[in-house]
Amino acid sequence: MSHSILILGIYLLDKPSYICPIKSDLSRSTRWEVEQRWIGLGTSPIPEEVGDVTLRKVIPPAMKFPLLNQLLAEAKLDRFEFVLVCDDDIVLPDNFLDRYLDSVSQYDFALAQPARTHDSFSPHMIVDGFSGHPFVEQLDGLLARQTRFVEIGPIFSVHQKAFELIFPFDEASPMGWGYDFVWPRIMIDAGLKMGIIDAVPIAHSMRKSGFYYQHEKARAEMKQFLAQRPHLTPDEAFFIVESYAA
Amino acid sequence: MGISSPSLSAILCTFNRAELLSQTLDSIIGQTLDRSNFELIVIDDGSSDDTRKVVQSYERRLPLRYAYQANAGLASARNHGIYRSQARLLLFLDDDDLCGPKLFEEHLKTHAQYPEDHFAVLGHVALDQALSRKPVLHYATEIGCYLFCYSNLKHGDVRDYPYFWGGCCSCKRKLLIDYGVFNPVFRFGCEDIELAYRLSKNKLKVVYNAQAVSTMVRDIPFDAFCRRLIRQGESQYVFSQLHPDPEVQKWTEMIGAEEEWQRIEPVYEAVIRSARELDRIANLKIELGLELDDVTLDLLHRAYRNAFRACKLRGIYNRRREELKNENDGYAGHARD
Repeated sequence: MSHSILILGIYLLDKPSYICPIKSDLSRSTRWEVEQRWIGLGTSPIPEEVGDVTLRKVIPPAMKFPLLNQLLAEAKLDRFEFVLVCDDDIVLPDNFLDRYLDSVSQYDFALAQPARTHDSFSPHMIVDGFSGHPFVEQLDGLLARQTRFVEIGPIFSVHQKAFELIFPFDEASPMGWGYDFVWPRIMIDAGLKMGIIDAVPIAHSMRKSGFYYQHEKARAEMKQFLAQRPHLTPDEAFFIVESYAA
Repeated sequence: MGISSPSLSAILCTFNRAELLSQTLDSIIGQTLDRSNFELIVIDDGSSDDTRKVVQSYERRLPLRYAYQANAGLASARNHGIYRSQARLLLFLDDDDLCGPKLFEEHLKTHAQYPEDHFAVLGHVALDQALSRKPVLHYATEIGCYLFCYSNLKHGDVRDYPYFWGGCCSCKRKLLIDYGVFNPVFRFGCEDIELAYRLSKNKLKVVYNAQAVSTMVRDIPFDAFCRRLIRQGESQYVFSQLHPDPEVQKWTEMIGAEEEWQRIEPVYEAVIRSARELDRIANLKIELGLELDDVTLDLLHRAYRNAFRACKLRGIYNRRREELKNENDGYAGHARD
């Protein structure tokens, strides 16, 4: 286990996505040994460019986090220092992986995500205070911040020391709603740090989070999930413990 | 946020005002509210002067936390402060204001009367007595209402979003966490009203407390005031483009602005020069202990009015031209591809 990263994700086959540039960008790391494992969700053919990193095609309906659990179960996690979970609808900045992991390592974030660019969905706009919160929007002037919140998508990383705490994902909420308020409780109790990297923001502006179009269902699912688990409230979670600037 | 959290987080964003900052911090030491009930968050927005040193020298005297960021503008700095704060109530302070001794206590008192999340509190900013003799500041605060204007407010009034004035307002943290924070596109000006406009969709109301007093102590000479208004005009343009609502178009003074600028642009320099000269003479008279007669005052105020309007329009059209240029460059770039 040294300087290796496992990238896991689900991409949509029947809708437009950025899977090809994402795969290509993530393979360009000069400092990390990268292994990508993706599942194509849908009925259309798997694009040739991602054939080598697509383990299989799954016909919908299927839920994101149980599929990710399958990918996790099939991988030898002890080979990797990090796992990065990635969606297919984001645009990464240049040299993302090396810059992002440099920062995550420097600040010792066991759970982390890049900030979202200002032109991503829902800047300053909030759906019931939960999904796509402006808290994850890039804070200009900062390189990174230690937080009590890392969102369930579109992209987040887990360091090896938190694998047992975060994996496998809790399938009681198969779309992940509510994880991001349970995770900080787990991380605080374990004495581990989590944070957001502002220096390498990603653009999330292709598809809105599922929370928007399945709002009522997602909300109910999250409420039920959180009711049975120790968690932070949004007011507690959207907090910067420490901020880092150049 | 927690059992041990203070009642109020005062958020002070500052940029290269180390000399004034110690006065502001001294005024916070003098608060009647017990120190265990508040925290002070100082966001240093990329200062290159002694700001950090000044703040550090107060660490034993105030319950403060200092955070530095590369210069990013007021909206970003305030968001940084919001997310670092721990109290249920947030009070935004300006770095050129001195807090009256009961400022924090009065804000808390009004929030106790209006505990629902959608009520914010507006305090009263007074102009320092020495500064109030400066003709330009007197005009800006008492007549033109460019900085703050309390002449149509009385203690206890409950008003709408245009009264959410950044450097003297407090609100519940939950309101911002649930419904939105400052838009970082605003580096100076309009960041407060634009946020309040969005919060008004969730019932924001602003309660005026005339006893929550702070005092502005920084002189703004005529030319600096003109530069400030140009930047304000730029922000008003951005605000108007974000929200097509006619109410916003009116507030941002965009209605008829184009025709007005076409009239003013050819004489812009002359308008500013003339006002600057009158301002110089007025200041000279005051320094000599002479009174300004009614005719001079009338002339001066008309000159200020025209110059300040011209500056705002210049800001609006600076920004508009910049945007058009970017659009054109974009098309050109696209065509090359």
